[in-house]
Order: sequence, then structure tokens, then C-alpha cells
Amino acid sequence: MAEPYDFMLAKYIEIGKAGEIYPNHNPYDSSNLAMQAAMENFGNAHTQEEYDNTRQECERYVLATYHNRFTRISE
Amino acid sequence: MSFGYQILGFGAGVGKPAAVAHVSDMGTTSDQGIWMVGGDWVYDDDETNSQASTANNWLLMTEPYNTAYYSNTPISYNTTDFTNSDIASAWQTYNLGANVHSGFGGQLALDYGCYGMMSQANSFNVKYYFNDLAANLESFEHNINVTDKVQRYGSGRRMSDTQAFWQAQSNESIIIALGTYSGGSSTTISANGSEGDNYYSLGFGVPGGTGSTYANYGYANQIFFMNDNNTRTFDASTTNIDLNHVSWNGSAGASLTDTANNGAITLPTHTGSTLKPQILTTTWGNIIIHQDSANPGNSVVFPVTWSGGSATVGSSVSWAGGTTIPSNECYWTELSGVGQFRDHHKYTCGQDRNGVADLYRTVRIYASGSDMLVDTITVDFSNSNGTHTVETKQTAATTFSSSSSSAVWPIFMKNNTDLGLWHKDTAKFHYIENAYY
Repeated sequence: MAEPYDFMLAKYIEIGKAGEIYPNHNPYDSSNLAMQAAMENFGNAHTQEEYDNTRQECERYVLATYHNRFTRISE
Repeated sequence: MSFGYQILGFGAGVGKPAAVAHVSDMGTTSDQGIWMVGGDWVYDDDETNSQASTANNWLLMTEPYNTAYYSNTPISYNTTDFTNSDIASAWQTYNLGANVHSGFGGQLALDYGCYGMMSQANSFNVKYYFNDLAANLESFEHNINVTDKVQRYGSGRRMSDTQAFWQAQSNESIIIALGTYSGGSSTTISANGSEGDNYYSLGFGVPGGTGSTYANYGYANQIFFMNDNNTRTFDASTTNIDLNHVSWNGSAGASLTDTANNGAITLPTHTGSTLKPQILTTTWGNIIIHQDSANPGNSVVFPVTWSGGSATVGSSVSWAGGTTIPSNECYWTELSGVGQFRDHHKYTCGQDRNGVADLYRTVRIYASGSDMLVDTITVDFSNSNGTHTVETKQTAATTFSSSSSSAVWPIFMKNNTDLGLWHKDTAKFHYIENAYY
């Protein structure tokens, strides 16, 4: 799952950084969009459960490492 | 420490007081948000602060995910000198026996709440709770595990003063259950709902059309949620919105009834914007706000009325704020007091406290140089055809300095004029006097 994780995490941070300027932004929306992007990119190479679990790993990483402060994550 | 400042030049000579922002450090930037608020600053006159011996005004701040626990710090706030202080050290919300926890909760009313918490232990078992707080705000007085679900993330969400629902959307989605609670050890819980991707939600609402009590508009035992063709998808090309209605008869163990309103709404094209619609409750039904960050002038609202589980959607109406007050810069997320996707409390509800039905208080947050500015606004959604008015009450009522984040937890005060805003990125609490004059 290394490839989907790296891809999804990069998307998650990119989308989260763009979204946090809006007051209705929620990290969950960004991780959903990141998962959609990963599913389009990797297709049936992974199961839905694998994508779900990868999404949760990405959420946990950004929460634990950056406390969901997307705009403070360096480029 | 707190400091206050007036917005000079505004309000002078026009017969209304200027906004005064008192800014203090509160919590840390790693805190996740506020999920309980109580005391004189928010309670109705006939409500009793069971924590009065601890603090006249208080809140619970959720502290971060870490290697083991979520926790809460109880914080008091003094509305005389505009300072806050920690009442006690952080206490564990839940410790379910592993190093990975996830979830959030919401306040129903007073010191009653709902929560969902996943633990890595026992195959990622999620436990769902109703609870009420001890008088010292350092533990739960009651904490009732109402149901469980394995291999799902999940969280508790407020519906009203006495009702909540639990939902999870990982590894297929599910409306776990609806429940009723008024403190103590007794709860009433529905049967668990069905699951599948068709229960994936873009946002939740309570069907409006009855009642006008603050933070309690809408029908009991009912929720609805949005998705697109029963999928997880919402992106810049999504225009179809289904309104999926879920009802319960209120009896313990009774099944949930689903009513699909497929294709209820067709959004305008929103190329370049992935902002999903937002739901508000009114005394006559619901408003669904379509935002567009790429073309804010294309924002519209849809009026929705209900007959049981069947929704009728009226013609869209252009967002009255236009590009001057873009809807995508306004806070809507929990503005009806219905839980969405994070910690939330009752007083995120911006409904008027002086009996003006369907008048909402909220804020506009927007970038200005390296700062974010906050305007206070009201929106009148009293017309069931969706026509509405937007009014700026105070311009630049406060500033989030050296930040580009709009992540806030508002507290709309009982006096109907003041506003609290906790800004996560700077970990500062802004108490704004006269915000809604």
C-alpha cells in the first residue's frame, strides 16, 4: 500500500491547504477527495477497504504530526 | 492575558456601539475543538448550571490525538474581565485499550452529550455513548455505552436538546442509530441501521417545518443526509444531490425507515470548486446553500419542505450576498446546531435568541494581506420560497493575525449581541462585544 499512501497523503495535504481558508472546510472532506483521486489513479489494484484504511492512515498522520493545521505544513 | 480593542471609526455617530474584541490565549494549536459549552453566557434563564460551583461560564476543549488518548481540558471564561483559565488538567475522554483512538462528540444541551470513539483494540471496535458531566467537569457522571460496531470509525452528532445520532463512514457507511437522552442513566436507542455506500453522507440535517425553539427547529426522530447517487463522490463535477431521509418511531429497538429522494437537487455547474452544499433548518423546512469558491457569484440556495420523508425542493434563489459577501466565506457548518464532521456543541447554533424565527447570526472570514478578518453578518431565511436578506452587522470585528486559516469554533451568546470565536490556528479566543448590533 506504499504507493496509494504516498499519493493519497500528498493529495490530502494539497487539498487541505487549499481548503482551510474557507470556514466550512473539514479535513474529512479533503481526505475524501484525496481518496477519490487515489481510486482514479490506482483503480482496481486495491480494494475499497484498502483505500479506506489508507485514508485513515493519512488522517491519523496529519492529525498526529500537524494537528490538522494544513496551512502550516511546509511545501 | 486579554486585550481589547475597538474598531475605530465604525459605529461612531451612527447610533450603534462598535464591536470590541477581547483576545486571549486559549488551549493550544494542537487542540481539536470545543464540544461542550455551559453556564450563564449561553444558558436560557430557566436553565440551571449544574457546574456553577466550578465555573459560571465554561467549556470543554478536546485535546489532541496522541499515542494513547483523547482528552478534555475544562476551561472557565470570565465575561467581566474577558480572561480564561484552565479549571483542571486534561482528563481522558475514553481509553479503550490501544494506542490508536479516533472519534468526536457533541453537546445536546446543558451538560449532556453524545460521543463515538474508535479504538484499535478489538478489531477497531467503535463504542457509542450518551453521557453527562460531573459537577467539577473532570469526569463523566454517567457514560452509557449504547451500542458498538466493529471495523468502523464513528462519531456522535447532535440533533436537538434531547436527541443524537451516530454515524460511521469507513469501510462502507452506516447510520448506526438514533437515540434520546436527558441525562442520568436511562437512554432510548433505535435498532442499528443498514449499511452500504448509499449511507455515505456529504452533510446532515434535521427536517424543518415544526418548532421554533433555539437550536431545536425540526422534527423529532428524523434526520436527512446528502449524497450523490448513493456514492462517496463529491468533486468539482458533481451536480446531483439526493436527500436521504431517515426516521424512527422513538421506541427502543425500533427499526429505522429510509426514504430516498433521489435527484432532489441539481446544483449549478461549479467547475473549480469542491465545496459541498451546507444545510440549515428553518421553521418551514430547510435551506441548502450551494457554495462556489471558483465563481462565488454563482452561489444559490434551495428551499426544501417536507411531507413525512418526501422532500419538495423549490427553485433555486441566488445567494443575496453576491460577491460582496461570498457564501463560501461564511460559516455554516453547524449553524443549526446539527452535528457534522467534528467536535461540536449546542451554541454553534446561530439562530436568533430573541424569538425572531429563521434569523441566523454568523460570520464571514476572509483574507486580508497576511491576516484573516472577521465580519459579523445576519441572514434572514424566513421566506419559504428561499428569498432571503443578508446584512453585515460589524466589519472587521476582529482579526486573526498572521494566519490563513478559517477554522473556528463559534459560541453564539445568549445576549444575542456578543460572539465567541476560538481560532484553532492561533489558539486564541476572541470574545466580541456588540458583534450583532
